[in-house]
This record gives sequence, structure tokens and C-alpha cells, in this order.
Amino acid sequence: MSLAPKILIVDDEPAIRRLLARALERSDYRVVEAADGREALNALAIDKPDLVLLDLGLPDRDGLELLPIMVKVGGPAVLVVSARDATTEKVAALDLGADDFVTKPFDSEELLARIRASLRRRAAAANDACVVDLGEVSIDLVARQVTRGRMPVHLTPKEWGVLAALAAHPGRVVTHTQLLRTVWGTAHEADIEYLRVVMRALRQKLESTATPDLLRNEPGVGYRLCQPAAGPARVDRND
Amino acid sequence: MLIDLKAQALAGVYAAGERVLVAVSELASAPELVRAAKRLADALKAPWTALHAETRRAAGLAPAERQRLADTLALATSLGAATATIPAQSVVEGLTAYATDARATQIVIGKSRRSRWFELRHGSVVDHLVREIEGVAIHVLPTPADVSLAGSTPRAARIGTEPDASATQYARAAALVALTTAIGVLLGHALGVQGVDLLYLLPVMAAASRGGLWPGLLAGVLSALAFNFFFLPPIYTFTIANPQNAVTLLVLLAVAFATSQLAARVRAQADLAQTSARQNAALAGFARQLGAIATEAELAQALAGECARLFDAHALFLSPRDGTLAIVAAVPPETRINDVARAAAEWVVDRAQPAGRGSDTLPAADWLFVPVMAGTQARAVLGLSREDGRDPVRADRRATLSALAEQAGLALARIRSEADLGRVARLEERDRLRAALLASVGHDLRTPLTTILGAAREIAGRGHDPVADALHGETLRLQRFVTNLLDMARVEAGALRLNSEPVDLTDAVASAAADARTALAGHAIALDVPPDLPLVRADPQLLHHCLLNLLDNAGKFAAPGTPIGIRAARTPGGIALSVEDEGPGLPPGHESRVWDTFAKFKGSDRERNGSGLGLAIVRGFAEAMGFTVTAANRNDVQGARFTLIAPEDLIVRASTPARAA
Repeated sequence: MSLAPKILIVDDEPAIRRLLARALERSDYRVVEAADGREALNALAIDKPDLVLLDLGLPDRDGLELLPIMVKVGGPAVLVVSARDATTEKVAALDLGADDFVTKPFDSEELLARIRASLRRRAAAANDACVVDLGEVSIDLVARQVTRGRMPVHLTPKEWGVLAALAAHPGRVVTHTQLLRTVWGTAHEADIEYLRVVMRALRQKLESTATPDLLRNEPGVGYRLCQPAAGPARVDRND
Repeated sequence: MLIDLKAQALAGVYAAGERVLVAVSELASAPELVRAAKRLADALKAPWTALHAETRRAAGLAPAERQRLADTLALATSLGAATATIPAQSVVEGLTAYATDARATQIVIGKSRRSRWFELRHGSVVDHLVREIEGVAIHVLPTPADVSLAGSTPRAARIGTEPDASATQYARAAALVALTTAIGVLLGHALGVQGVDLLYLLPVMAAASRGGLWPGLLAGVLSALAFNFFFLPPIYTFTIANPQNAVTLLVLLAVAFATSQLAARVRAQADLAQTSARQNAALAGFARQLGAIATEAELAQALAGECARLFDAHALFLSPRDGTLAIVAAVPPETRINDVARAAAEWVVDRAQPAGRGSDTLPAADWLFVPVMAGTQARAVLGLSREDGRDPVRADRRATLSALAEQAGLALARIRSEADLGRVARLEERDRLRAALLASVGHDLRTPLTTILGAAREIAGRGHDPVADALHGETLRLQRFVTNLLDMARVEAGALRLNSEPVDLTDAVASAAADARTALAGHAIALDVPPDLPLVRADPQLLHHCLLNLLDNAGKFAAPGTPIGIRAARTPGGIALSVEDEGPGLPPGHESRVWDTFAKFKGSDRERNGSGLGLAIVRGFAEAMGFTVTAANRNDVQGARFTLIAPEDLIVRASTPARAA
């Protein structure tokens, strides 16, 4: 049993830091705090946190500038917290590699749920997950097979490409641009109609029309894969 | 580059080298020619020029003809032509010279309506042109007789072609002949009769060239008589013995005639050139002055001052202000107008045509008003009058006045568009500040709310304390309030930034239903979105908020346990997206009032907790995206139906990209 995950809170508001720190500590996380970008980078180097809660409105620099420094292979998962409810900012943060985006004012229970999901994804990524089990639907990333109610589902190459890109990080929002770039190439990263058409086909093949909540749309931002029973997807190790 | 173009145009292979030239005159058919040239130029995509060759005839034009010529040139300008007026000996010569210089490839002229006899003597313009210019297409258009006749007016007295043949000129002619006779008598025996008759050419030519036709003819007659009397046998009688001497007399008269015609023509040409040069200099000076002007008041002062100086008249510049015409500039400054004149000026603004003294409308007025045009509308009026009651602008200078007004109009258009640009920039700056302010207020409200909400939840989570639960519940409500207020402020401030993209309504409905699940606890959500619905251009974030607010509203009013429906359907007018509840419904007859800000239908079932902003925000967001909203009672069961309608032009045509699949 390893140590509890360590979380770095980067926010210039002491009240928010105190609140978050208490909620996180009560859930048995270890907590480090930073009030600005400089302190955040120091903490990143010294404390090596597993996850960063990053407020974008920092006094000394824009939080978006810190993202590329934090996000790298084996680095912490970054959860962006912002009081600005701007779609463009969300997309920018996710495109720069943020794991998730939470808008203030947030509910601390919801934030804790997102933190758990993020950490689980990070652990799963380290373990080379192969089969994503979404209840009725199951995706085998190695065998490139999708089943719905144990029946194989036939997907076109583009449909598979989109689903695989989403299944690589279950529960995490993948932006429109990221999906288009991965599946259609950079030349088509603005052709959102392509994506809409493929998503509709995927919905028809994988979801029941009455309760479409496997492929979750984040309006104006992107899509994420979601377990029908609400809550983050469960990832099995393929061993 | 230019040389290159010309070379290719000469080689006849470069289609882009087309250039249309239209010859305009004072005839009433000229505007028709201009329009024909415009059509030709458009068809060829070629630049075009309206040319007026100013011959001797031009000086003798009646005021109405001059006005018509000026109007025709103005029409050409407004249709996109360059215009030019060149002094020329004849129309043919002027056209030829200009066409060669400007490398015209197409010439449009009207069919001459002069008599056969005239054409026999002078040749037709068309024939001359065809002979003189090579490689140019010449379009000859018929001129409708009725138009031309209706427009023709009595020719005014020729101005400038003939100098005033005053008594002095006649006396001078007589004196010259006397002098020549004296010299002839002195040298008579040396020269002989045949030498003396040549001497008489001198006084005839001198008189004709200096004094014009009549003094020349007088000199010719006097010379013939003197020659006959003093030199032809029988001397000292007027008897002509030899018929050969009658020829001498005729020759002298013919020389007088020809010389006077020739001299008069040269003089007329010089006069015209001088007048044009003066006018051009005045206009050019005025144009330079206008270039430096930045406000309408300065322009008004400059135009009034220039006109007062050029025409030696009182000048006014009037501009529409608050529904009436205000005097913007006056020279001299105390100049005012009476109500009659003001009415004439208003007529000028309405009709964009001149009126008053010397024009077709209200010719008996004291003032002459001409419109200052910016584009096709009269933006201001220039008024001129003289204290001595004469016409403020002589008929032959109306063209100059028109040109001045035209230049002022261009300057006015420039000044106004600069002012508009400035206003737009200020508005944009104000919108930017508003958006920034709202973002800042939003940030400042959300940050403490987050802390309070977190603290409230923590306290509430410690155990069942009704006070703590109330604190948490009210904080959540406050949070919704703040969100709504900020959204509403964004709508009202016009600070909504649209990020429209093709949206699949299946996606939009699914995510809204998922996010609203907590608010709709206890209600089943029935989704009915046809899978073949086309995509719709919308801002996904705003659409999401619209749907959330509609679902939130439905959740508030729907009877417990009843389903809430979201339906999308293709309708004749676009795509309708409806949220339906089974609640008390809306007061009949006032359904659409539900969208108004703070509309909560006092005393009705609709008066529930809520800020009264939710639906107003829906309408604000929807309208910002180009959607329309409707509210109605359901006809299948008791309940309300709120519908967002995406019009046809927001529907993304179903062109399933082949590469998508």
C-alpha cells in the first residue's frame, strides 16, 4: 500500500485554499498549497504532486502558461479550476493537456469525484489498460473490438478512431480539435460536421435513444465517455 | 507595367485593355448615351470615360443646355465613369486626340441629328472618326427625335466668339483703307494698278482679324470702292470698265470674310481654353482645400466662402438637423433666409435637385439652392443670392457651381464615414469595457460564493442540523441567482460573444438532460429527437444554457411524478426544439409574457420561487443566436410547452461529408 496521493492546490484566494485543503485532507489526500505561479513551480519540482488543482487567474501569470510545464509524461494530472465560465478557455486548457475543467462556484463533492476519476485514469494509464468496460458496452483497445450486450458491433474506421480516442481516457473530456486531429488529421481539425456525423452514428450503434448518456457531449468543448450508471468508467486491466 | 499593357493592347491580344469612351453633348439624348456606355463598359468590365469636347459651339449654349450638359457629366460620374472636358477645334478632333491618348478601344457616340446639308458641308462626325482613328470600335446610337426636340431651347446669343464690333473698329477699318489708299497713290506710278490691288489685302485682313466679320467686310467694300475710284480707269469715277476689276472687288470681300471667320475661331478657342483653365484652377484649389478639412462645419465654411468669392454673392450652407434645416455656415455671417426660401431649400434636400432663382423650380425666388450630394442622397444644401436681385449664378457658370457642390459632396461623404468609423470604434470600446466589467464582477462574485458553498456543505455534512441544511440550500439558490443575474446582464449589455458551430441537437439535448438530472429528480425525461435531423448552427454553450433553464423551469412547475419531454422536429419554418411539462400551464392569452424579465404572473400558479430571469435569459440567448422562442399551453394534456425555433438559414445543409464516415 503506497502513500495517499499528493495534491497541489494553486489558488491566490486563501479562503478557497483553506476550504479545499480541509475537504481534501478529510478524504485522506496529502495537500500542498501554492498562492501564485512561482510557488506552484517550486512545489511541482520539490513535492512532485500526483494531481494539481490549478486556478487560471493567478496574480503573477496566466495559469494557461503553467499548463505545458506541468503536463508531461509521468507528470501530475492537472484539474483546472476557473471562475471564468468561458468555453474558449476550457478548450484551451484541455488542448494544452489539462485532465478536466471545473467552473467556480463548484460543489466540493463534485470536485472530489472528479479528482478520484482523474487519479484513477492516471493509474490506469500507467497500467496499460486494454479493455474499457462501460456496462452494456465494452471496448477492447488491443483487439479493436466493440461489443454491446455481448454482441459485436461493426464500426467504420472513423467511428472506431473516435471511440478509441475517447476510450483511451474514459471520463476525460477530449476536445473537438483533439478528436478531429487524431482521426481526420490536422487539415480537418475545424471540420466539426465530420465529428457530429460520426458521433451520431456511434450513438445509434451504442446507445439507446431514450437515455443517451454513454457518449457525453460537453457543449462547445468536446466529448467524453461516460458510464451509463453515472460516475466514471471502470477500467480493467487486461491480464 | 503600363508600357507592357499598352504594348499588348496594341498587339490586340490583351482583352483587359478595353477602354470605353463616350462623347457627350448638351443634347437631351446624352444621358441615354451615357447609360449605354455604362452597359457596354460593364459588359467588357472596362473602365470608361465620358468626354465633352468643348468646341466653339459650347460657348453659345443656352443656360438650360449648359445645365443639361453638367447633369449628364454628373450622371456619368455617379455611374462610375471618369469625366473629361477638353477644348477642341471640333468634336472629331477632340475625340480623336483624346481616344488616342487614352488608348480607348470603344467609342460611343450619338447619331448626328444635323441636316444633310450641314453634313455635306462639314462631313459627319462618324465618317471622320472612322477615318481618323484606327483599331477602335465605334458605336453609333440613334438619338430619339422627340427627346431631342422636347429638350431643345432657343440658342442664346453667342458669347465670346465675336468681339463687340464697336464704332472704333469700323473707324479703324476706314482709317486703314484711307492709309492704304494714300500709300497706293504715292507708289501708284511705281507699282502699277495690279500691284496696288494686292496692297488692299492688308487693311482688309487687319480689320477682319482685329474687329471681326463686319469691320472686315466694311474694309473690303471700302477698299474695293477706293481702288475703283482712285486707281481703275476711268479714275475718279465708280464706273468699272473692265470686268476683271469686279473680280478684284469680290476677292477683297472674300478675303475679309475668310479672315474674320478664321480669326474669330482662333479667338473663341483661346477664350474657351482660358475659361476652362480658370475654372479648373478654381476647382483644383478648392479640392486641395477640401482635402485638409475634417469637420462638416469647416467644409460648410469653405464651400460658402468659395462660392461667395467666385460668384460675388451671398452664400449659405444648410444641413438637416433635428428635422429642420440649420444654417451651418453663412457668408457674410449675418445672412439669413425667410420661410419661403427655407421651404425651397427643404424641397432641394427631399428631391436632390436644384431649386430657386435660375432653375426650373421656383425660378422667381431670391435664392438659388443646389443639393450637396453624398452618394445618392442630398446631405446638405448650398444657397446663393445677390443683393441686387440678379441671378446669383450666371447660366454659363452653373457647371462650375455643380462641380463645386459635387466636390463638397464627396468631402462630406468622407467626413461622415470617418465620423461613423469613430462612433463604431467608441461603441466597440464600450462593449469591450462592459464585457470586461461583467467578467470581473462575475469573478468577484463567484470566488466568495465558492468558499461559502464549500463551507456550507461541510457544515451541513456534519449531521442533521436544520439550520445548516437551510444555509446550504440557500447558498445553492444564491449561486443560481448570481449565475442568472450575470447571464441576464450579459444579454442586456449586448456582451454575448457568439461561438457558433454546427450542433447536433441529439448531443445538445442529451447533455442538457444529463446536467439537469438533479434538478429534475422525481420526473422521467422523455427524449424525442429524430436521428435524421440536420445539424443546426448555434453557440453550443448558449443553447445548453437555454435548455437547462427550460428544463429547470419545467421541473419547478411540473406536477410531481409527471414526465418532462424534450422534442425536436423539422417544421416548415425550420427546426423546433420544445420542452414540455405537465403543470398548471400558462394564463391563456398571455402566454408570451412569460418570456419577459421578472414576469412571474402574480397570483397565478406560475408564481413560484425563482428569480423570474430564467426564461428571459432563454429568450435573450436564443435571440442572440438568431433563434425565436414561443410559449403555449399544450393541447394534449394540461401543461406548458416552450419552444426554441431555429430558422431555415441556421440549418446546416445535409451534405454528409464522404470523409466523415
